[in-house]
Amino acid sequence: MRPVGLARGASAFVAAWCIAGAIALLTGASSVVMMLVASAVTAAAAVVAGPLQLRGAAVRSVVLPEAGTTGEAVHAVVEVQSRRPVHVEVRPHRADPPIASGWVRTNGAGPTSGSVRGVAGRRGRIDQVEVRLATAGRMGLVWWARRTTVPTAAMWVAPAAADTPAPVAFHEGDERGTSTTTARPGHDDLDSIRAWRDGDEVAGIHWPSSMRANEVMVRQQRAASVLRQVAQASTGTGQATVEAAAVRAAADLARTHGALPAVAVDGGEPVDLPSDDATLRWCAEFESGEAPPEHLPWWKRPIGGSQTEPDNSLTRAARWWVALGCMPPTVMVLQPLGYGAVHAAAAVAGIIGGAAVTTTRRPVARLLRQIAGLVCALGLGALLIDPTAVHSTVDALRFVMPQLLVALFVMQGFECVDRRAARVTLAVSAVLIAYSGGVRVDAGLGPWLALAVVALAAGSQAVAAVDRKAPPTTQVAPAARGARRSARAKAVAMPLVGVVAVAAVTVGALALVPIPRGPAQLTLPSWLESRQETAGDGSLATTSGSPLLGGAAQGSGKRSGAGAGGYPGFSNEMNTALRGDLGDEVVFRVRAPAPDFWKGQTFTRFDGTTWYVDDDLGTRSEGPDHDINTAVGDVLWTDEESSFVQTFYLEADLPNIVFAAQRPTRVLLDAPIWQRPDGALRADVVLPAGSAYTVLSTQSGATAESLAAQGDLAALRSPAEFVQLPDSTTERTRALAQELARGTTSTYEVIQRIEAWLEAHTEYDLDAPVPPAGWDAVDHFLFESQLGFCEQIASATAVLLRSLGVPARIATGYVPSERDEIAGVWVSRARDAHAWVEVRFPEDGWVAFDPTASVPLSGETGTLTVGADLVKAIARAVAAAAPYLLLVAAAWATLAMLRRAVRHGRAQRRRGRWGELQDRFAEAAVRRGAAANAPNAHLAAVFDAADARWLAEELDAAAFAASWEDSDERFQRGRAAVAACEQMAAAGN
Amino acid sequence: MTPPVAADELTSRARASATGLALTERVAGVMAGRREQIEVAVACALAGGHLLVEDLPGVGKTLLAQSIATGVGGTFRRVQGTADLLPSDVVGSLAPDGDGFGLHFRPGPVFANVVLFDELNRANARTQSALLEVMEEHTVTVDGVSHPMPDPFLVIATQNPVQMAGTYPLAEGVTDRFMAALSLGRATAEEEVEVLTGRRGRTRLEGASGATTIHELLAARAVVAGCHLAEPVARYAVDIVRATRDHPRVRIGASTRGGVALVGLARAFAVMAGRDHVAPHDVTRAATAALPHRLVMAGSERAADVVAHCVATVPAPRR
Repeated sequence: MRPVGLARGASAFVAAWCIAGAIALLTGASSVVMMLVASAVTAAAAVVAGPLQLRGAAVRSVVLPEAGTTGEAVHAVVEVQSRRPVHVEVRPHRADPPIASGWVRTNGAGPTSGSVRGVAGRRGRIDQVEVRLATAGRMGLVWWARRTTVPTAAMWVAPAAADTPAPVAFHEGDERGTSTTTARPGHDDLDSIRAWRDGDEVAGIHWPSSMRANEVMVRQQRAASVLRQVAQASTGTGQATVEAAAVRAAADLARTHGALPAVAVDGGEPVDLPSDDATLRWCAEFESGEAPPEHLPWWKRPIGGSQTEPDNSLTRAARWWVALGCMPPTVMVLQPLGYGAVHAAAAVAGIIGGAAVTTTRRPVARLLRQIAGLVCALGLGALLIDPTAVHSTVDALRFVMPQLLVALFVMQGFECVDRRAARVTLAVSAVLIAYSGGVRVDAGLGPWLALAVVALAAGSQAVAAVDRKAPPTTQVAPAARGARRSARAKAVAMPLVGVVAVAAVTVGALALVPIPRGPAQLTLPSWLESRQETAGDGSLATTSGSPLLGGAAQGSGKRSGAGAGGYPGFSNEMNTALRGDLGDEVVFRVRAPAPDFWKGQTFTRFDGTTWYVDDDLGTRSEGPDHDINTAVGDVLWTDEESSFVQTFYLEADLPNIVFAAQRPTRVLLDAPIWQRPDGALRADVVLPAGSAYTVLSTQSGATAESLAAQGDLAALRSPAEFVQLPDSTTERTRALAQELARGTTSTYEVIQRIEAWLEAHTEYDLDAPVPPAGWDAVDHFLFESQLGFCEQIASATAVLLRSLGVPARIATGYVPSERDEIAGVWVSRARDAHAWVEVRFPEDGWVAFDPTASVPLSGETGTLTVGADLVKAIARAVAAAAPYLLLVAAAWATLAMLRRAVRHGRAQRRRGRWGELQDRFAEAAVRRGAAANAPNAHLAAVFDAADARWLAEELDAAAFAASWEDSDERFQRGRAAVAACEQMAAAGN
Repeated sequence: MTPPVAADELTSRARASATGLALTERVAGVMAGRREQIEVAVACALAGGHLLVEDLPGVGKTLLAQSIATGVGGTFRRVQGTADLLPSDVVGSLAPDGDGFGLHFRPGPVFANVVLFDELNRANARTQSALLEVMEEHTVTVDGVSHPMPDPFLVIATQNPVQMAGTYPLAEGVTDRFMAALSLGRATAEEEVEVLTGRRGRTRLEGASGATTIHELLAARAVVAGCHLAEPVARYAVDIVRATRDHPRVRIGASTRGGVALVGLARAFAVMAGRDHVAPHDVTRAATAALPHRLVMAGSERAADVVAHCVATVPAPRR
């Protein structure tokens, strides 16, 4: 058993895999990584499918015709034992081309005879053949073969008769070779009477016959016509086959002359060739046939000489499966580019058109197909591509390339007429899937991806499927019912086991693959959907009407009345009394390997109720590739490990705040950016929905231990602004801080204690009461209401730390609240706007702390793997769809049971209780040694019992009589007889 | 519910069965052993087909034909095949009237209920084909006038497969006209003793007479023709015939006519067994008699082996 090569067009899948790998590297999309690993595991499964199937396969017998002629058709019957269809090649010798080949379609229940056909080759006598069983499993990608040598009843292959017959010597007769009449009346060797022909001698007339027949009849004597034509052959010429062909021609000629052919080798004694068969055998065996060709090792064989896959034909059904497999990727690519249903429908119509043109009953001429494909592609291109949108090369990548790819893809569909083209089509659709997996981040990706992958797998299987309607006849010897049933069960179970195994190995392998750390520097996505300049002075600005910017109205005394739904944290002043009324809409999706705080604003100064942003605007960089300076208090990390790439895909209109994970070093945004000394970034344009920008940050990698190791930060001297406290800060607040810090050795421990205290003594409440005017907000929260939300909690923490002399400030932004595991992005919604505390550690810079948002420290995120993500996604999808799945499964099971019951009932009605007796009787007889194919009477013979014979008669009557009446009495007798037979069968074993 | 069986149908079936049995018994009383071959011959007579007997001289070919003829009780003629036998010698010819001016048809030896054509392969091809025409058409047409054959009309031809010198081997189309071909084989030693002592054999030929009548035979033929053949059994017969065509060692498989003959013989077997329907094992039994002589083999393989193989590969229908 050995692998023999790839199926036609399978290399396209390899190319597609490589392209998908490149896409994964460029985009860091985990969906593409999942596809890559899943396809690699599937490919491995496809590789082992062949040997698994061939393991149990065997050739039982080969029946060849007795005689054949080089270059003429051969029909052989091969009996094969195999679980699934195998391709059979029969050849006289290993190096010979096959003389017969074809599929033997088995049902796995027992040995199956299949007809295979081909063309006879080399001259000679064949006493054994080499049979090659080949298969590529269900996926049909990697072919494996197994060779066995099988003895067979002899077959003689003779060369075709040559144009020029061999030289002939004539014995015992004249040279005309026609029958003659001789005047020997009364002689005994009269053979026949025939009508008079011109030239016959008058003496040959047979008068009695002439009288009776009323015409002149003559005697014909065989003896006179027996002429021996001896063809002359010679050995040692080195051209034995040519000699044999000439002898055959001479023998054929002799026979048409009515002479007896014979052959003499090297002028020796002539050998008669009395029949065609004898001639053929002599010609085949002359000089012991032709020597087999020399066996060439594979490196010496000509390239492309033989194809691994035996046929290149594509069934209509497979072509339509391929078309189905092409549809989801096309829609997947077009959808996120902003195309509507009309455009998608046009592309799908193009695919259907291609499939329709290639599956017509009468093949469409190639030129016509090409023209139709070209017209279709041009039309689709004109419909999809908007040249006015293209201003630069980058634009071309978004507005021309995918569309062009789709148009070319649809055009290729018109050329998809064989397996190779079908596999190329599927490979291209795999590339389209990978492409859309790379660029799409929306929630629709998961379902589409699942649909597309399933359609792709189905199409791939359909292409490889053996054509069940192909002509060769196959007789399946039906095994006992039990064997048939188990074979059927195996046929259903094996692919299921395969799918489950592939899925398990895929998830297992993916569990070892970390989430890509982000795209390489080459393709950092960044574009602005529209450009709306701000004043350019670094002040906050927003798209008119956007609810996300702060500036909520004050003074209503109730937090819920705060403003027009905006988040107060995105303004220059954050009044802790205010709370935005925030919705559920997605603000942005962030492709990043780990969650982090997406920081937008930093507040340093606190006056007891309100936090203020610094006035200092910082420096302005022009972009589009901004190197971000180190802000005050930050630490620069330069090692590769700390690099953290995030791409923000905006889905809502945002102000000109550039959200980024701490601590940004590089931003790709095609607009000037103000790099504020407090670490916040503001652009000179507002960021509209549909835009994307990428931020490269360096993460400190802080862990609880490393932070704790840095000791008490109060001991260090910090800039006054970071430890500034408002005058309204109460004594009991300071006292609480002192108490919490007592006995601690590190600030980190203090922070932990503060968080624990807050957890224990306060409650999270979005509708916390507003402190009365003049009351310190922190004091009110800590000791009076003890109800609050993130602003209160963060402010309190900051004030407590500052009272200990620890540098702390407030940051606002978004937290990643959920993950779309398939797209590999973190989703932030409007309600995820958040405020948290930043504490400055000398070795790590500003480190974010928040007891409410579960965002781990950068050094403690652990390695998230794609496999874990996939499992979570599947678990979530299953959980979400569980009722439906259960419903569908229940419905399916019910339907299947109903169908089975109906079938069983119908079979029962048709076959009745006697049918059951028949089955039992046949099984018992087969067990006792009867042939499975035999009729009932022969089955009964193995029992040698009158009852069995009676039963056989009765069963036949029940099945085939014109009128037959069932009766309970006879049935009881029949049942007794069957029981007796079963007992005998059991005893016999 | 199945319709009740008409009493007269029952009796006609029983009588047909009895006819077959009686004929078999009487012929078996004459012949030495070889029951199976006799049953095939009788079935062939009941099915209205012609019989080809291939065997060595002296094994009882002629006796079989004679005893069947005697048993049926119709007219019996015998033709010896020779090279100079002409078609008109067989079917008849126009002979001058007694007054010497007109011509009248003088029937040949084929005008009989049972015709034994000995050594068919020694007659020349023209004569063979003239006989075949009669066998197929059941009429003789001479000078534009058709002369119908008597009914029943049964031809039993023999040929000697060993001494082939100076013969005209039967062409494929010729053998195809015979419903069944059988080889008698040798009798056992005991049976030969019975022949030599006169308890069996030609001396007992008269014992076969009166087994049945022409009228009974015709009635039995009607029953055989009406014997029910269920769809799956017909399909089974077709599958066997097709299997012979697909066999690599067969050059030309059985024809559709072969299928018709197969089913006809199976019907006769069914009636002889007293059944009103054809069972699958009737077909398998008929296949060994009705098919091998129709196959043109590619080599030296025995056609009977191939037919047996084909029968073994086709699954028999069951309820």
